[in-house]
Amino acid sequence: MENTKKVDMTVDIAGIRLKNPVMTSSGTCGYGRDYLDIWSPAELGAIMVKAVSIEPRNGNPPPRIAEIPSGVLNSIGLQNPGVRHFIETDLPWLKSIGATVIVNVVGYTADDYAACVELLDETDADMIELNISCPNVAGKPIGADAKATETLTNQIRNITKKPIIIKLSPNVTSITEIALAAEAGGADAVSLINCPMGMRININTRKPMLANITGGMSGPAVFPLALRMVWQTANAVNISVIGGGGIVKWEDAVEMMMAGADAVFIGAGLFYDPASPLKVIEGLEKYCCDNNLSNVNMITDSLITDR
Amino acid sequence: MLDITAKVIENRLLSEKGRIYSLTLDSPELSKDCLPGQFYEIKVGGLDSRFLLRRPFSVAFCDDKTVTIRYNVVGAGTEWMSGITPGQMLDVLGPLGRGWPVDKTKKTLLVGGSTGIFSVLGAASHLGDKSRAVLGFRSCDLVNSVEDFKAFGVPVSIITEDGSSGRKGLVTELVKEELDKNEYDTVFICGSTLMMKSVAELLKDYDVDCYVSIEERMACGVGACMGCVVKIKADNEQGWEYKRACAEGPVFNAAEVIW
Ligand SMILES: Cc1cc2nc3c(=O)[nH]c(=O)nc-3n(C[C@H](O)[C@H](O)[C@H](O)COP(=O)(O)OP(=O)(O)OC[C@H]3O[C@@H](n4cnc5c(N)ncnc54)[C@H](O)[C@@H]3O)c2cc1C
Ligand SMILES: Cc1cc2nc3c(=O)[nH]c(=O)nc-3n(C[C@H](O)[C@H](O)[C@H](O)COP(=O)(O)O)c2cc1C
Repeated sequence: MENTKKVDMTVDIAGIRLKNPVMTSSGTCGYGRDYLDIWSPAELGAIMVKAVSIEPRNGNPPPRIAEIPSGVLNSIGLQNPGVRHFIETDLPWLKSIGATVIVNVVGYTADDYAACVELLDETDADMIELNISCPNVAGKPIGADAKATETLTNQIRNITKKPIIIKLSPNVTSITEIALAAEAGGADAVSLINCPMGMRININTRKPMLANITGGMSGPAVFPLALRMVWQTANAVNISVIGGGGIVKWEDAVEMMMAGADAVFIGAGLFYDPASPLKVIEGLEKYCCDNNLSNVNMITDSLITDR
Repeated sequence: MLDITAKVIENRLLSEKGRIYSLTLDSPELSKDCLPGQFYEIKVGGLDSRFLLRRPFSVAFCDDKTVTIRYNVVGAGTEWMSGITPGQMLDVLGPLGRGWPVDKTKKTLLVGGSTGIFSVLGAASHLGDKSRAVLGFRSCDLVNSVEDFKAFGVPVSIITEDGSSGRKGLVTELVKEELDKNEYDTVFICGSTLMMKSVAELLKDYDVDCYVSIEERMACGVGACMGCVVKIKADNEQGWEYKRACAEGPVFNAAEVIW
């Protein structure tokens, strides 16, 4: 390794320079403390924390988890202690250890989102990710409608100068239509995918495996779906694209970046291999060395479609 | 919490018909800080496994070099585990969660049902003759580990639902008889939700502390995903909150659980 030039692992997302392109995704890494024995949020490009809402939420009744082949079905239902609690306790700690913090925000109404973002705007949170795509709460998510996506993005754009990321749902007919609506509304980046909806049944009890009946799928089972959507989206928009869904190994991250992602997130992959974020960072660096790439961002969009 | 690869030194069949195994790992690191009632998450299926989720198992007992867990084959993951051979390496995360509040100054009744006996076996290994165990099984095929309780100095009574071994009936009957002796300060229970709920209900009439270990479906095992919650009484407007079995539990004070 001595005679290889060091790879520049930094990437720019929504105008912010990140240490590397690897993030852990919202809802799978809490508020950054649970995996401290294995990795620190400060080692990541950024941490996308669990969704926060203006008031605390209980979430759905258990069971909330069911396994699927190469994946997991969840129906957490956005249990969280509320944005104020996050601002008072977790955020100052995350900033004190040097983490780049992306705050995932959720609301029942546009005003809920706005109220959260107003509070976060006063803090040193680095970016805001609007979760308009949770499959586990009642009603049609905003992220299933292009006009509603654009309107909400625009409303939030007028409240904060912080970079806004729109988290896209795969449960739509056209992912690019919603991504373009987010861009038109003034988003700085899109992140995708949130969980496609799924279901399992226990044939002995004839009951659904999840108390909430349906849930969101994650893990390697959704990787090809995510990759296709990231590729379509990256080809459609000019803003940053954060791609994820089913990433476990560094090879998956390379694929995701080749398809057009500027950065990647790891979610359910943590359940399989809690050390995966560090292994993915290391693997990306080695891939760059082996392929004479001086900057990790050179992987992005390097897909060759000619046969 | 450690995230390590440990060598299997034994994977022994304890009950042929019941398909219960005892698996021992050679790992001084894992056994060092492990407390009874805590658990490990084991990766199943080998390289590029189709099983995304690790399987949680209670520590049955440990010494300074080894950790033993015991499991019943119930599905594809434990089926894979039954084929593990000595020398094989396993990815293990743990120890995880909060275990039993073991206290040798207190006379403790250990109550176990089916695979719940392994969690209370952990407590037995620390409490010895300061405790007594009452164990319930569906039938004689599933009876196992009784000698291990005895080896730790813990007297054991057995009851089976079909009467094929020990008395016929439900474990609650044995619990009631023991408690009527007025000897116990504390009760530790691990078993099906139905069993734990009925024992906890019964205990309301006695002046004893009662703890239950709740085995909810879980994903991360470390507190990050909010997957394995249990409804627990709380000092808030609604009077309850969802707490994580993997982080605040799996052992909870039974008086605080909303069944
Ligand atoms: C804290 C804790 C401690 C446990 N300790 C023991 C023990 O010492 N010995 C033992 O035999 N079993 C124990 N269990 C139950 C054990 O984890 C399951 O039997 C095992 O995960 C089944 O895996 P499988 O792939 O064979 O079954 P499958 O049914 O194919 O598993 C599918 C999914 O459901 C989960 N699952 C299935 N049954 C259970 C269950 N009863 N509880 C929680 N999750 C489940 C699996 O982990 C997996 O994610 C414990 C569970 C928990 C939560
Ligand atoms: C247990 C769990 C909880 C999640 N919670 C959230 C959440 O609060 N907000 C959000 O935007 N996405 C949430 N997600 C979706 C993930 O962030 C991610 O988009 C999705 O799981 C796909 O990526 P993966 O396959 O790498 O997990 C959650 C996923 C899981 C498995």
